[in-house]
Amino acid sequence: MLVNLFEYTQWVFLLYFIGLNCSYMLLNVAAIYSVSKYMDDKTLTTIPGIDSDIMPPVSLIVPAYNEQNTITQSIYALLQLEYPEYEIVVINDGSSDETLATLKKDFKLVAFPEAYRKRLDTQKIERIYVSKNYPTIRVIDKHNGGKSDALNAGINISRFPLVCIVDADSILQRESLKRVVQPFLFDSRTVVSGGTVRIINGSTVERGHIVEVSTPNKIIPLIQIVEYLRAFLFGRLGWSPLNALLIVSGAFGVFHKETLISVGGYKTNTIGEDMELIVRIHRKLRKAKKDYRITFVPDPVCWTEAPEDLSSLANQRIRWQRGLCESLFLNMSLFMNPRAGAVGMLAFPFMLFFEWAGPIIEIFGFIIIIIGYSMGMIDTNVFLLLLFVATLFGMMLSITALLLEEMSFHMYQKPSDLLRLFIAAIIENFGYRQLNSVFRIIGFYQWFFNTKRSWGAMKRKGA
Amino acid sequence: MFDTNISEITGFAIQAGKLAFGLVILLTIQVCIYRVKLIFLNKRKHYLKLKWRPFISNTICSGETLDIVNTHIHKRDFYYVLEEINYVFSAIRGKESDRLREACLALGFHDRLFKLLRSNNIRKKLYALISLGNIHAHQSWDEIENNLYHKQIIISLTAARSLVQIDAEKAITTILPIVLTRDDWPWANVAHILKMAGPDRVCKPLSEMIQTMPVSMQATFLRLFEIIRCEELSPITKLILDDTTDDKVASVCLHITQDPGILPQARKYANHERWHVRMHAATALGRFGGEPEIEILTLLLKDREWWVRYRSAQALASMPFLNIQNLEVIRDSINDKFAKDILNQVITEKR
Repeated sequence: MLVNLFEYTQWVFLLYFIGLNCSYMLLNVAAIYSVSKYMDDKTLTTIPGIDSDIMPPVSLIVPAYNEQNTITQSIYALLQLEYPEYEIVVINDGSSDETLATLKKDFKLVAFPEAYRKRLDTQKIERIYVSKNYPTIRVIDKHNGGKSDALNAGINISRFPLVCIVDADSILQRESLKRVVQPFLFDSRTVVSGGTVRIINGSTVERGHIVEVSTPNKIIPLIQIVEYLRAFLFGRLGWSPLNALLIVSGAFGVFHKETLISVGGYKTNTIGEDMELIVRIHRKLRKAKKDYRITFVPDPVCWTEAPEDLSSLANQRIRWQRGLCESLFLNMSLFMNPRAGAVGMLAFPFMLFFEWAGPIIEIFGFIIIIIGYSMGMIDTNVFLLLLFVATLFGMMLSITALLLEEMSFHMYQKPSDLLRLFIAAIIENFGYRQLNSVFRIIGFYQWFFNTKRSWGAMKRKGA
Repeated sequence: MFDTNISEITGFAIQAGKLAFGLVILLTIQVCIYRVKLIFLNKRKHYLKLKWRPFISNTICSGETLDIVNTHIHKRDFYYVLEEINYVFSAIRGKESDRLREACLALGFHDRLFKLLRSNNIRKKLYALISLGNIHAHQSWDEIENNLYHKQIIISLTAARSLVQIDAEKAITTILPIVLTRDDWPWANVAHILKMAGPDRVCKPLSEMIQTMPVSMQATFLRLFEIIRCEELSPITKLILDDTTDDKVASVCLHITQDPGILPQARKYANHERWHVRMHAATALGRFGGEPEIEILTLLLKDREWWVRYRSAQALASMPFLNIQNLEVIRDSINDKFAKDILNQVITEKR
């Protein structure tokens, strides 16, 4: 009986393995097509020209919690964006450090009697300030309510039809806003447009802007560069042409404000507020039979610092997995719903089977193989062969991401950087991926037993 | 059964492993090829830059076209040379532009570009359209015009832009009727192309068109008037405001008009059921209104919609005969909390 159970289990894992890799390969093909087309179409955005009169004004929403060391630099960098008309709304979410005092001092803030509309419920706002030096900067000082609550407060205060969500610790390319707003100009059905986030570790930053892109010396952030390339270049680029994108990074995304408000803004009781919002927008707009587009811009527009130590990495991945679980289960009506189109029939099941259940099945699979091997039910050669095949497929996916990068933006100009990324693509399969699965299982556990949530803290080196 | 199963799994794993291994090798080779190509391309570009930049500079500065005119441009270098020259074209005007154009014609660009234009390859077509526009290739007009109907937006729009560069007046009569039928053309690009042609050539035919076009398109085209800065804008908005029943069209007219004669209509629209019409009416009342309009705007400060209240407060603040003290008097005379708050905010903004 044990042998039979073992046989069936093996076949289940094999089928799962085939399904997973076929799905990724299809996504790869879609991404290669998309990236080629995008690089061709990029000419469209530059040749016939876009007049600055036509770019819609944008409100940048910058939530900040205990960011006293970085907030001033981040806002100075935002002030240098190449865009005709935008305002910056910073939300101090009840920071316990000197974030507000720093802002008051550096931007000469004065209290302002703003008669704002409270269209989304938030924690109490203590005061709104405006900068005497930069009239486009407003700062909201509010009681602590978490990132989602801070974002909702920023949306309430914002004045423009498009809102751009920016993490206070992200570094944006000067032309980033132009690039991410363009889908709104070219297709009036666009409600959300997200940009590609890249890892800044190892690169040189001066006055809030990237001056040289390079790879880090430390292995953990180096592997994460390959992971981000995979996630953004084929993960998102593959889903975007099907209008089935389920994630737009919370670090940088532009939203049509009225749509954002009509779906209820950010949920304050979730951890993965960025993904949950996108899945909910799909659900509500599909239900209302609206013709809409959620678009992804593959240009590297936003740079963020990746965790360099295991404990920060663990925190981040646990949070992400919890966010994924919450986002999927709060919007379960999309699952295999033919009326939800590619979102319901393809993207949602993909996320559920391969991202939500993936780590559990992966770890369980490893355990089964090890048990089978130790009980003599698997031959040593078969055991090693299975491990080797799994590793090869992992490498294949990572190298495809490197290929997409070379086909498109080749940000890493030095051949030595390419070589290091290639090595990272190989060694991530030996320990890092498995460790990640463990973190994700912890995230799954925390979601299931609903343990406490907070603003995600990370040890920062500071760019 | 167990043995069979194991061997099946082993067989399957070996096949899958072969496939994955093959793909890993292929992908790695592909990555290396891309990188090597990139290195060679950059070197070649650098060489061509050194060769062509002096030629371009001499041509646009003095009209001297050096010996390079007799040089044959290799097929693989042609696109790079085009990129360089098109880049320079975008930055120069007048005599300099004419000199570069003559040099390009002397280099036999026209025939090569014409061949490229007939290609089915989108990138080649684009290069050809942009360059033919830059060198004012009148003799290719018909072929470029055919591309206005191309199903690819990028091709059709670039063709429109090229025609405007070659002969703006003739191009506008060709393009405007097509604009009505090409609802896939992003209006941001249309506006840019029409702006390139200049208000003298665009405004008159556009004003004739706008009165006869379907109401559903009027709002978009009215915005074009504003972007192109047409003098015909004001009389047209007044005419349209008299007749229109469409709230979007009314909104745009009230927003863009520069004609004080629309004041009676603005008063009427201040009571409109749609908030965006009331909001633009408030702005128009602030722009053209006198003392009688203060009462209407004060009433609008109590509107249920925040934007109407905000624009009404801004309208009051923009009236030249109302200073901060006058605004404070108005604020203190209002009982409505929302109206008071919004006026207070705008007074602080004005300070």
